[in-house]
Amino acid sequence: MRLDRRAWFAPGILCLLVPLVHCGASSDEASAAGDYSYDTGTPRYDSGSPVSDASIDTAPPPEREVESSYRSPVATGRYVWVANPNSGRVAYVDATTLDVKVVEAGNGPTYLAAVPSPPDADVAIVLNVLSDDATMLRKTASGLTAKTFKTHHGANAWQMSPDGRWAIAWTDAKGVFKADKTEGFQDLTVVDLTDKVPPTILAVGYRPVAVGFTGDSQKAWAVTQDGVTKIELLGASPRVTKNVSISDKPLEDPGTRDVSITPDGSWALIRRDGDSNIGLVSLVTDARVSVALSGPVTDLDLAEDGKRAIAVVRDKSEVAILPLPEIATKPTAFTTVTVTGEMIGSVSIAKNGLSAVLYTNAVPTERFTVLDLAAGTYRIQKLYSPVLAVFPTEDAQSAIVLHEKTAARPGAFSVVPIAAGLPAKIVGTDAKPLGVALAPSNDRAVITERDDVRKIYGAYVAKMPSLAVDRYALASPPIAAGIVAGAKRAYIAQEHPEGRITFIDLTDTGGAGRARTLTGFELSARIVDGSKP
Amino acid sequence: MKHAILTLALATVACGGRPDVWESAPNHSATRVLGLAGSVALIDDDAHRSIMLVPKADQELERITIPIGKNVIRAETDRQRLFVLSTGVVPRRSERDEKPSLTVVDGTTFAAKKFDLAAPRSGLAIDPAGKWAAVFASSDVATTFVENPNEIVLVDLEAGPSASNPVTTTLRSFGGKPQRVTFAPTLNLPEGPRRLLVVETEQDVSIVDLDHVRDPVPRPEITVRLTSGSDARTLRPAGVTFHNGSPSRIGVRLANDNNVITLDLAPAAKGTTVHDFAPKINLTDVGGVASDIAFVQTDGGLRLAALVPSLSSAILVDTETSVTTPVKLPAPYQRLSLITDVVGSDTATDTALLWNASTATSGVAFWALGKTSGQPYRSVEVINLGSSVAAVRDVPKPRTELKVLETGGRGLFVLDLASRTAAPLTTLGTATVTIAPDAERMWAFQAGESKLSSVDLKKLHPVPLVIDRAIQSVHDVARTDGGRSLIVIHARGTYGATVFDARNPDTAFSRLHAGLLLEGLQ
Repeated sequence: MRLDRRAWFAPGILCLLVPLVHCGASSDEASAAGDYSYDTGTPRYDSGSPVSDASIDTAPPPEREVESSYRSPVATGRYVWVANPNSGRVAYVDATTLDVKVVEAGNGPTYLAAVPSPPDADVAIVLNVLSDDATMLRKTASGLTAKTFKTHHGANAWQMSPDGRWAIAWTDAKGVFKADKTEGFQDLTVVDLTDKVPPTILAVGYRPVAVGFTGDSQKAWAVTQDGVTKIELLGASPRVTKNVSISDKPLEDPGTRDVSITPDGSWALIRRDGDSNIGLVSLVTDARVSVALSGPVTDLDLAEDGKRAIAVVRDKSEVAILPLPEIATKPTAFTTVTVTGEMIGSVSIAKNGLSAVLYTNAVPTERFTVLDLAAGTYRIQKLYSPVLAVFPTEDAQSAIVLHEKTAARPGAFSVVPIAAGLPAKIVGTDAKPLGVALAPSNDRAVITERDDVRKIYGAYVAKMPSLAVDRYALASPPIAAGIVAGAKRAYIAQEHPEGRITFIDLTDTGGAGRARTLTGFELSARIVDGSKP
Repeated sequence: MKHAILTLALATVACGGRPDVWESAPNHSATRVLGLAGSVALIDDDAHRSIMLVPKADQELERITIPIGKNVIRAETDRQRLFVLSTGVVPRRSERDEKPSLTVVDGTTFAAKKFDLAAPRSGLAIDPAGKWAAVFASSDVATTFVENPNEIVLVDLEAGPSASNPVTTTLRSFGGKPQRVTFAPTLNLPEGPRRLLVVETEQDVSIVDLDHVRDPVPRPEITVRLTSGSDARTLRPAGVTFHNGSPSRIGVRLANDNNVITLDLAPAAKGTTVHDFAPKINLTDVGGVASDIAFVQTDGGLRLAALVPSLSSAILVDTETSVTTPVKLPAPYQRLSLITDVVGSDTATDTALLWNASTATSGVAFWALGKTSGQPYRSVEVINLGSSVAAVRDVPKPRTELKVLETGGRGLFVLDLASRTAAPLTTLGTATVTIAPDAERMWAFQAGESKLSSVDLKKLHPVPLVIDRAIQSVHDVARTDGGRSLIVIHARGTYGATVFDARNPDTAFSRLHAGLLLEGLQ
């Protein structure tokens, strides 16, 4: 699992591309400093002072991290959940029948998350920001139940354990406007969703940037500016067991480092801007190991199974494949692949862990590299517009590539059959691409676009492997997109005072799937059928 | 007058009590005149009867008296039948005192059905398909000290009065009272084609499944509340429109909000309700208050067209996605009528007539909804009339291509939709227009005056007629011999009527029938 300076957003909100392409500094640090503006490609703080000056520094600018901005919105197996902080209600839409219902939550329900649950139940949890509690909503065939848990004040983010038993409500500083440095956001609430243990408020290090669980759901951790705080979940109640410092330099700027934690919670991998070394810190023994690479590491990604990490050295066009945990004991035993003639600065490992895509968005580059992690071989995939971000499907058979705007087009994307080695299909968009959602079935992708000035809003459904692309006009600005796998529908939530969501049928009918828009969740829920009790 | 004449004439033979009708002069405000296809109904509330004036050859007039309920509160006609709502005797002191009722008189056989009502009601809506009538408490006329305005009485007009006809249904209320009751056309619903009744209150819309109101356990109504409950604002429905399709849809415009609403009557989840459909609501902001809405077919598919006079625009709303397409109009038209059936279409797309703009020179416009150059409409073509159109009158078959445009001033226009011409007809005053059901002519007159004109709708040739009495209304009525008569009603004294041969009107051959309200009195 990769935890770093990339932006973390509340689940259910499709992250905006525009503010997140400025990664000259950490996103949490930048948020604290103020809003970004972005219209020329030059990273700026709101003071207007350029972060970097190309006339002085001739090196390519830093890689821009955008993939993690595109978070999956809140959908469970069959339902899409939408909170309305003003009414205190949560609407849940059956993506199969498009029935809309509303349930009362607490005061100011705002931050929603899907809870891992068995197939016969759809479970979501929402943070009620005004009543400082959380409401867990469980929908089964017999109806909907709600349960409330107390949380600490100011929580704005969730992390769920893989087994669905534990939820941690925490405060992401990026979601707090101009937070004072005295606000450490160090409280987090550990909630046992089975209600065996009452909610426990714990204090961790200063300004956590990420929270996670080990794969067995028995431990949790928080990456903070003080290091990694470890939390033991089993026992009478959750407790903080230790804090592991990840730097020898107490004054190191935490905004310049990426931290990734292995799924078993045993190792933290640290990449620092401009540093040629990858740091490994044992979260069990506090032992530290440094892996020296050939030049400054511009990106680091950890495979889902935690068995390898990929580091990119842009200056040398090198990729280092680090085996885990063996690299900790043999820091020089790793594979290096040089992608000759290519500039690569970013890496994204497919979920199946068999391949990775390498690219750069620091300079306009109309290609990316597909790396076979088992064989250590690679090939170049040609594109027809500079790369902004690459999103491989879970099975690594295809990828969606977002492109920079051109003189004539506000944006574009390509559908790339990377496994088949066939040419990519590029599609110019009518507005700037906003988000990407990939179907778990790996055969569909949804790309949203948004232009508030020209009021152009739309969504594209890309079909793989046919590469057919259909555009759907949207009535209002998209804010989130996702796939409801159980219903075989994509959904695009949109800005609308009464709530609006568009569902697109993803079943293969040979043509464009039917789009259906629902507007007015609360009104829908207030339709009174006299035959119902 | 009636009182005086009859008192003198019958003074010597009068003995004992006599009907109250003799004790007062005719009450013109309580006397209503309604034209049916083959007769004219003169509602004589004082005598609790309707006098059906049936034209015969040689301008003769047969009078048929039909008893109706006492204290008429509303009378309507669908041209085939006469509907009379009465309160009955209030207060009811004996068993013989009449109950509130709805009397339905067949315009051909003059057979009457009387449906007793549990309480007096003043609101009446008649099913255009002729199957149903809905009686309800109208918001403008209170009939009892305490009313339940949400009680709707549904009368099956094809069946006689019985224990199960009429049937009363009480709408679940969230504070609203019915303002308007609309019978939907037959709609395709998941269990098959059926009829719905749509009731608009000040704040919500209720849907009643008419085909199941007489079930042993009737299907309850579905209420679509138009307020979210999160604020005190009340969204007031201002009219509905329907689309028969898959799914069928109901469009609702609002009197005080920029949104229009579509209700998709989608299949309901099995086992969750007795209904086979469940309305799916969609709000779409059209930028201003819509003055009229209609479902229209474009090359891009079905759209809800909303006229927004404040923007001088029409907004086409995609019923599936709520995506809107604005269409700038040359004037702030407030009304639209679909005229596709008349003008035809090669592409199965609609054509609409736009009218009733506030500007004096706006006239009417043809709005073609066929597609060119990527937009779901093709063109808006204005016919400039030099004045605003206040009302559009349909001309029945076989001349449905004609519309009579009333300007509210001294003039009217005969619009030919096929040739897109508008022929002006000037008048000396504000004209009241009656169009002959055979579509051959129209009649124009000024209420309270004695001037009348017949206008041949083919040649637009006016024939002036001068009658020596003031005209209240004119009725072009079919005779049983195949001819047509014009019955001109004079609301003077005991009412009179001048009868013309409608196809060849000539004052030399007209006949005046006076004392109509005296007919049949004893």
